[in-house]
Amino acid sequence: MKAPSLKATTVYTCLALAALLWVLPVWWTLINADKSSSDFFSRPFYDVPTEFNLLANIETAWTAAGLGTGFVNSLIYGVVGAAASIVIASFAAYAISVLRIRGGFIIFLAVFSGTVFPLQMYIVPLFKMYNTIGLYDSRLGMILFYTAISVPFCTLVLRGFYTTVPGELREAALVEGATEARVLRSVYAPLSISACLVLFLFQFTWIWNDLLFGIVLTSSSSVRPVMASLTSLMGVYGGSSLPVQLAGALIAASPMLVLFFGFRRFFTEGLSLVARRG
Amino acid sequence: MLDTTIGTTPRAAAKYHAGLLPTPSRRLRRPRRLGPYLFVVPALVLVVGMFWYSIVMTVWLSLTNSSGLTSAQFVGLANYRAMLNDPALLTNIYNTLIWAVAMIILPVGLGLAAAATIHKRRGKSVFQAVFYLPYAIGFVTTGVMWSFLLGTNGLSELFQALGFHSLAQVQWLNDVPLNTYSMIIASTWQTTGVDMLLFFVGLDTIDRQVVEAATLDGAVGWRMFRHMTWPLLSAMTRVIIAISIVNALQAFNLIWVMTEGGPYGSSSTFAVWTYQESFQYYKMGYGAAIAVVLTIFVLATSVGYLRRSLREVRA
Repeated sequence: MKAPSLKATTVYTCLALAALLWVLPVWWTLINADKSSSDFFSRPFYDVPTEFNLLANIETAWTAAGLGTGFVNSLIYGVVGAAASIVIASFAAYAISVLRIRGGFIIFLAVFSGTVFPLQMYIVPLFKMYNTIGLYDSRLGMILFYTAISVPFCTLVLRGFYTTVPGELREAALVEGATEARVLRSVYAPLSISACLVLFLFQFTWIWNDLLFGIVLTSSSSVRPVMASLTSLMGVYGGSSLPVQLAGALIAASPMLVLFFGFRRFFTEGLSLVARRG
Repeated sequence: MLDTTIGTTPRAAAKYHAGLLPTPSRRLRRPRRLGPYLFVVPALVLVVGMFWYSIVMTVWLSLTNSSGLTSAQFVGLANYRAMLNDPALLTNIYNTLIWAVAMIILPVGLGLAAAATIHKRRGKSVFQAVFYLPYAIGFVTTGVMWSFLLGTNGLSELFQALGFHSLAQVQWLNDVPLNTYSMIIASTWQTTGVDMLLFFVGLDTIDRQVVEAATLDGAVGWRMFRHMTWPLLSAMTRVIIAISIVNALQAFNLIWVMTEGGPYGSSSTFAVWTYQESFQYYKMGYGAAIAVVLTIFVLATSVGYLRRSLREVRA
């Protein structure tokens, strides 16, 4: 066997050092999320813990600090918001790109460009509107908002996808007496299932990671999404110990880690959708 | 032309042309033509009702003295004039620009370097997973982790143990301008992986035959990168830079978690400033004016990018 060249060795050494820089913060988070308060404050942070305390910290963060409610809320917001936006967007995309309604392109632009502005453009009026119509600090309000903000991107992607479906399929179904809604449900929806899965993961991730609208549109911990709960855990008034905060961070990150590494191919596909959009 | 065939099956069309069906009356055809429009109603109502409404309202509110939920009076350009005299303006412009420039150079550059180095190399999947991990963790969680590392119980202890006593004294999130730089490092740690993945997408689309031909001509390593990979990646690079600028100009999550823009607004950006004026001081008219200025910045920097994407969706 040939000895590895000097160049290859150099490259791998650099890569390994960079990888270490990327892994160490995660490692330090893990070991400190496991420490008891006394363990944490008596010895430096880079020492490995002396006892297994992770589950106790997770429990404290989950119940005493109220992160569990946020976790469940965000699961609901993410699943319902992503699914509802895909359904709504598929109807819009179908009308625009398959039925080719008059003025469809203008309608598409109105939907698509509604969210290209900085998010800060939306916070004050939405806060006021939600207060006026009684949606402020309600789960329904959060679901409506997350659905609405996911619709434009889903419409963009599905509109592109539907144009690739051969029109003969629809015509055949119409001849057999299907309605347009039926064609969408039985022909176009099944064909676009993988695109929809990519969209679902993408929008779920966006909703899960949202902080801004969580703190603008809610105030009580029973409605707050997970990232807003996590930040209140570490705020001045939260007063949770650092190991509990870090255990909370692990809780908040866990579904994303499962999704990202379980469905990595879909995320790569989703990313290329975002990039191609440009 | 296409509208007239909507809802008409080919069979019915054939019968119609053969004179077997009576000419549909206006009343009968009307629901068929209206039907397709019902499909776009939910999407339009949600987006127009929430987002277009908000855009118009934010512009309007920026011309009022709105505070909280009480009724507001029209004050013209007073908020914009007040902004010009606000000492916070310069800090926010400076920090927002630093964020934008740094987020173009650091994560995009490192992501490109990582992608070009790892691509087609043994162990790609391991390195890819490692660099990608922080992206999966998300901005808020990243903020919590790095707040701990940069706080008094974090890296300072390590520097102390290693003998770097002056480094151990640094208050990474309190000293100006280090607090902004520290958060940029945390943000780079978080974002590099996703830029790397986007560059992988670009690298995968480069024609293998072109690369092989160049290899036969003796292009390897840096020369290969300089004369082959870099030019062929330029389209993807432009997209990534555009996305990075737009995201960096709106940087909020990480800053809000780590410093809330403080101490004393020293690490604030336009996005944080808008939120604070609107929801901590309840100066919503002023907050709206800041949001409008931020939007002008974002639209000005992304106008070329938007024009191109508009052309693409039209095609």
